[in-house]
Amino acid sequence: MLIQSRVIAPHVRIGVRRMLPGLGEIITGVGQSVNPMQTVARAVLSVRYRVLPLSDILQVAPEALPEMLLVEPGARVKQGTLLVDKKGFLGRRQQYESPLDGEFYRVDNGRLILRQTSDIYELRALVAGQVIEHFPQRGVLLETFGSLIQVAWATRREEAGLLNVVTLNPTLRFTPEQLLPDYKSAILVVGWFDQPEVLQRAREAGVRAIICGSLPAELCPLAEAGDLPVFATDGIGRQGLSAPVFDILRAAQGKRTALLGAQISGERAQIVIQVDKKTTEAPKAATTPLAVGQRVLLLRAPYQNQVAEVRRLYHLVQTTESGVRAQGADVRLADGRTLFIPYANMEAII
Amino acid sequence: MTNAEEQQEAVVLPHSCLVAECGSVNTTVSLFDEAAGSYRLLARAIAPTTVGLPWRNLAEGVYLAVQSLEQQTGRSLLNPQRKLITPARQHNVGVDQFIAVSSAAPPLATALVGLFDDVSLASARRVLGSANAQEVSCLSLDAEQEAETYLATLLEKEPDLIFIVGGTDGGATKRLLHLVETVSLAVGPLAEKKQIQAIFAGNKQLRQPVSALLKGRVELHMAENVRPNLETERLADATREVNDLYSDFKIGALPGSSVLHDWSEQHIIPTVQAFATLVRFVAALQKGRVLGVDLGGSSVSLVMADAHGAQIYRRNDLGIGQMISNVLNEVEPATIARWLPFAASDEEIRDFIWQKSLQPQTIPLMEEEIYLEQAIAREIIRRVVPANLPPFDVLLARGQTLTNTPRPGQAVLLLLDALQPTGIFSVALDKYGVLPALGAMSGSQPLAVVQALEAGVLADLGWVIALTGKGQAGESAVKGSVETAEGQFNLDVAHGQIDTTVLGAGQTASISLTPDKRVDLGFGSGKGKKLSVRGGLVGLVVDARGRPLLLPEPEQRIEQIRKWYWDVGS
Repeated sequence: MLIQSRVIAPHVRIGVRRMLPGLGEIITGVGQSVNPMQTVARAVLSVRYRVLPLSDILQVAPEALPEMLLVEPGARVKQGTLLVDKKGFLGRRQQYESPLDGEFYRVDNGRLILRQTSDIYELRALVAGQVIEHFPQRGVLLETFGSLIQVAWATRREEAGLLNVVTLNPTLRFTPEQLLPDYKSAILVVGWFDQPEVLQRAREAGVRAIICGSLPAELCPLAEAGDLPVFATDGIGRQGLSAPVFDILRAAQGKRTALLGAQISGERAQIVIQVDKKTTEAPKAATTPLAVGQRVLLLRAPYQNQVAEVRRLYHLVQTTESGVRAQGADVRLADGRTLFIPYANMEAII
Repeated sequence: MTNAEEQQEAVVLPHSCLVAECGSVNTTVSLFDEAAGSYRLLARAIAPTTVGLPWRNLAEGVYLAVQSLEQQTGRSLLNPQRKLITPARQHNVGVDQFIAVSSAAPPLATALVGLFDDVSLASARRVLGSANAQEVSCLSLDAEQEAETYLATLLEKEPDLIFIVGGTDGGATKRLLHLVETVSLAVGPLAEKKQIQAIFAGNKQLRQPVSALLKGRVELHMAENVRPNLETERLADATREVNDLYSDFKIGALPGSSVLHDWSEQHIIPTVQAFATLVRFVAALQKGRVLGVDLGGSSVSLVMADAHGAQIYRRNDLGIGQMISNVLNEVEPATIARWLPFAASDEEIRDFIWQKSLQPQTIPLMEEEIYLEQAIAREIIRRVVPANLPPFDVLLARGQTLTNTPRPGQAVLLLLDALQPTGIFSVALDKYGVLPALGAMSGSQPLAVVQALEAGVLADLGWVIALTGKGQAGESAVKGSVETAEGQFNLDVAHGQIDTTVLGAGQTASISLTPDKRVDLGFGSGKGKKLSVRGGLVGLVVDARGRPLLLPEPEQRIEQIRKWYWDVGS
């Protein structure tokens, strides 16, 4: 049986994909070592087009316009560059200058199109590692080592910094009053929070990012609108950090950490906690079928966030206590109880 | 085995059919074949849809489900190279036909172009509303944009399809051509990034100039004018074009879909199209009007079909899975809470919805969560119910939230609350999730589909009598007598009540109904009716709560909802 899986792995070899939002230029070579702040690729982020109705302005037929042009498609133009020079009767001339710096794109049915590019996007590595693969014009694959945690929900912003685990209890609520001045520049780890002031005060305190187990849905749009990265490892609500996630984070106090957004469609955002020691160990393949003995994270109430071990797989549909029918497995919880859980309600921890 | 031996063994079991339905969350593979003298669903298996990471291969989920079918049935379906064995051979090997149905691809992002919002564009939106397409921008005389602005819009929205409508046949041409000129200019930079499809379904006299303007910039398809004149609307041809493009360019672009193409003699069919075909098929069989409801993870569809055709009402941005959180853009949590038999805060409802959108495959296990998911389902279905839903004879419903309720009465109550239908009709659920598969088969094997329907692929819930007309709560709305083989008893259902009479599956009853003079059973106010009904998992439900359904004040509401659930056997 194939089920959803989640990487929550201490000390593994990690392939970090770093991808541009569009096509661009890769500026690091395969085999090159990079540091977290280093730019590995860049791209032009925005392109604007200006459409100039020149055949109307110059009162010429659209098909006559190309012959009057002084520039070729693709040519760079400056504001004031002469684009058109039209000879008229009795020695009169009509000229037209570029109104902007940019590129002459093309002439289309009597209209001249100029292209302006701006906002160069610089893609940082965010992790220390080595470039092991290029995705031409799109990005690179970096190799690094450490702990890897795929998260349930994250804002779009990315960040790197040192980890500061400020909670001793993974299910504890974090309040604005608990934000201290010495959290400046840190990536904070908290159980969960539900007050917008946490986001505001964290920004004011110079916190780089917040990792939480969960946050209520109401805060998600607010967090998304802000510039402070928020990574919720276990989803939406007030459940806090699941035990396997907390165990890894607690052991990584003060470690160099990167919060990476989804790089391609369908990918999860992830937390990479780096260590210098290399390893050949990689997370188990997510495509491995579920087997007896596999550790799973349970996703729905009343067992949400609990870790269990698969004891028996069922191929035929079973009826749950509530009367819902589903394919699933018997799993053993940490307290020794064995329960039937639908496959849909568990993720293999790999 | 030699080729000669293989040929000798070939095609012993005619028309066995394997159908894969790849949804946004799950892939269901169903095996239909002849058994005990009739076609039936022999087995089905479900696997996760594997179009996303880590698989990125639609075929993986299909392989997995097919392997599960092999285990269940002992029939060999895949060869060692994981190729489907076809046609069927002796010794329980292979299958004659393979059909694939899918809704796993995102909808076609569509830029609409037309003259007026209330004429041709309204028709175009109805086309999009019945297909896997989503409007992302609109250029019209009502919302005209300079070429520069429109170019920026197209670059931002990156549509897959430009759908141009406008003008009656033989009517004015200048204004529409002006809009198409803008499209022509603006589409250039986008066409450098991706191949753009375009459909022209406007004034047919403009086909040549439109074609000339867009030549080399888009791949242009011609469809019948959606508004050949102001009084006539023709959507079928344009809808077919949109469905074909979805199949070719969205489903066809899914990684691994080529494997399913290779197995099948036909294109992968969009699920909504296959479901609509089945609903129309049942309507023809029943010689009546059939309403189909499909609540999926990323879309919701209503199909109303009769002998003349089918009308689809669909949302591609609302569903009970990945798209569930969009419901909060349209309704407040309190609107959802009014359907709950317990109190729930706005925060609880919002958190539940967001979490479900992150883990769309999950199934609620606690009673409160089951009721909450059903309450959300009501509001999602309500978004696609047309303003004047006509009466119908049969209601077919599909989607896990409807078919996997702990008690079947919950599905009936959910549908009655969401649709608020009127009249007398039977209700059945697609308990094995095979209706699109049967729709896909119905063209080539209609007899097989009839036999499969008769062989129990549907969960027959029973009949509903939904009254219109208001009266004092507690006063009789309808009285009647029910005669079964076991005896006779009387019915008396008061205004505001929902009443269930247990009639077992297969049990028939003769019913005589006399409504209150202000109540309409569908035959005129106060007019009675004698009818024959067949029982089901729920029985005979009389819904005398009135239309529109008015929920009680908050303080009494929870008790009332609880009672309604109780009254339908939940």
